[in-house]
Amino acid sequence: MKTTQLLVACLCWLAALTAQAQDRGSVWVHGLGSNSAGEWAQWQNLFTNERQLNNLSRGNFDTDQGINGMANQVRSTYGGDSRTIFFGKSMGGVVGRELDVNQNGSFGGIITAGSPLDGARIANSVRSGEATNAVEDGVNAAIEGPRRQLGIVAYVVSGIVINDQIRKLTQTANSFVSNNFTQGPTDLAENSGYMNSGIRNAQTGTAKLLVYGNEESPVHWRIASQLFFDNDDDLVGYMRTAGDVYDAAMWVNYGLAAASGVFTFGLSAIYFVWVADGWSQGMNWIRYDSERVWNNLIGAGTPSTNTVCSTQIDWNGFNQCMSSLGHQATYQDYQNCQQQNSSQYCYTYYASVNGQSDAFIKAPSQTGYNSAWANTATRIEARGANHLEMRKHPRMEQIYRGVFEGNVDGQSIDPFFSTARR
Amino acid sequence: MSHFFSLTRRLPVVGAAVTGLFFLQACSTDFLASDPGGTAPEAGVISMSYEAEMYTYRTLGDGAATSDLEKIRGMAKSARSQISVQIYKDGTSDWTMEKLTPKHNTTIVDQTPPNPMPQTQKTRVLRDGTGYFYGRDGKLLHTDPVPTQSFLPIIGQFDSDPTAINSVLGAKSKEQVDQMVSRAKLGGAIVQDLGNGNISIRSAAASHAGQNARGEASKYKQVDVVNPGLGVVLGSSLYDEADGLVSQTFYRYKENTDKKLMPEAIYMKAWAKDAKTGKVVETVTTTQFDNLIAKVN
Repeated sequence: MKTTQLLVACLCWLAALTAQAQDRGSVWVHGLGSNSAGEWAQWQNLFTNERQLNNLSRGNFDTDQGINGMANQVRSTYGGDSRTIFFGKSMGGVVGRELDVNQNGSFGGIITAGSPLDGARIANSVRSGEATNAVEDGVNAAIEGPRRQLGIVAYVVSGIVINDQIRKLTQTANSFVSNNFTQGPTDLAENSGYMNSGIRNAQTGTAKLLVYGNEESPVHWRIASQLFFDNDDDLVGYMRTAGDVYDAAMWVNYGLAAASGVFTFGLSAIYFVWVADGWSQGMNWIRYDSERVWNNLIGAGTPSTNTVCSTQIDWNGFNQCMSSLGHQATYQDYQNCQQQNSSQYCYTYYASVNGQSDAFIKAPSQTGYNSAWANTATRIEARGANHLEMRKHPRMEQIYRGVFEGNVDGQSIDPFFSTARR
Repeated sequence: MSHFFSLTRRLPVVGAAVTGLFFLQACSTDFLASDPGGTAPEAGVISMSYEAEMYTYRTLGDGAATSDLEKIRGMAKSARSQISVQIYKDGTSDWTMEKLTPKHNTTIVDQTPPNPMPQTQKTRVLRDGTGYFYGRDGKLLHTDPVPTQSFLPIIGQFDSDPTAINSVLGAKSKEQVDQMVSRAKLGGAIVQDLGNGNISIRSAAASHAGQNARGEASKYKQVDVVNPGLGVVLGSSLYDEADGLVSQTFYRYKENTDKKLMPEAIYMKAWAKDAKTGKVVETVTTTQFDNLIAKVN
């Protein structure tokens, strides 16, 4: 009897050990307008060679068919079970949620990376033409100084036409939506019929881990740089250079205005002030406005207010004061007239705060802030990773490895995702 | 374009790899030799130093009709720099600019992780317009041409009589004002007595900007209101080719320790029509000059 019990116990232990050692299935789904090779190539070694993960599905799917169409495509490619992990990048994660809610049993746990679970505002901005208009507004601002001082409509910094560099933002925005008016970007847009269909509020017991990219400032130049130069620094460096040149040109012109006031009655000052203002517009757009505008286009700007106080002079009152004194006006009168017509003016204005994002999708959407589906999810930050970089950023590798080990940055991860090494 | 851009940024690396260490050292030496670093500029005929602060915002008008993007463009911005400039007889100039914290605090506390790339703290612009841009640690970040302007329209006015330089600094005499009015008339300006102690001078902007008038404003007209008794321009207006008002500027002067009037602030309002919306955008800018010291060497 004892021998039989021991044999059964041994068999059970062996069965458990074998089950743990068995490969578990993984499904990999790419984002809008992308493909399997582009999104997952970097992770071949980590997922398939290093961990006991068996690739069930890693195909190229037609994102133009929208979330439902793509979900059906994906589901037809594999026969998953409750041990399967679903990996979804960007739109792929939204497809995963669709499967989780409406095709129960497709997998047991889902990991999303940069997925617009509450929608992608950039899709709305591109489709409405707002993105193009905002960038052209920036081109106009950047050309104002050169136009006023040099009479040109295209300006070169470091041997490169600045107009062309700024317009890379339009191309970057357009690259997100891929085929503009197909079902994919239609579904992903904020407040789309799909996003408002109730899918976000369905709750499931599936293990969920949501990785959100949190790119460093200036996020817009970084994502554009990523698209055009395959790194997130080149365009940032170029725009720093451009901002510096504009800054210096602005101070040179204000300096001439000051010198004019000191030496020549200030007669030529208005010309230099006017030109300085042109350079100032470009500098401020490059350094400040452009990132706030971009964040507004992607929905990552938060409305706020700010107040700045300064001395204001009522010039009509001042002129009347001086006129009343006529030819007898002295310097003391001049100062008195200014004093009498000066006041402290506090200007309170709309201020847009730059929020966290992967430069395409705001962080709250990536983490399903407005999706009850995500209530039980674990959220992990991929700091310094933009939307395009999430396919290969070292931080992502660190996160994935930690997820398989059950711990990321000291944060415990749902044991469902623990996957042994081979 | 992207290939060109990548190539130009990677060229030094490629060059070093193919030509070896000797070439790399030679490059470095040449580079250092051309970097003015902390070397003081040669003294000019005029030198000026001051702290300047620019504070600007756009008024938004009817709030109901204003988009978020217009509101963002309307946000206040400020910048402050310590400036010193040497001005030479040929109109060229050598500038040193160092960033300071503006007194108008327009900083917004953003949630985005900060930019790790080193930012320019100090700029030197040489007489030939070459700009050298240094980080906080004093390291040269980049070198690029800066579009400078000639000081000839300013110093040219007293170039014929070097002794006059001292007399034109700060407060002007009645004789100097008369000379200025005569010069303006000779240049085609229309001078009117406004009957309140002030005169107005209507002239082409180019007549004052001289060789600097290359851009759009070179075709503009300006009207300056001058108080001959004080010897100062109280305010100026700039009109485009269609006589539309594009900008108005007022000046505030301060008496320095030598009892001379020095510019303290320039107030500007500018108006431009947005091509898309047709709205007139008003920009308000104040430029403050503190501790202004001007010296004729």
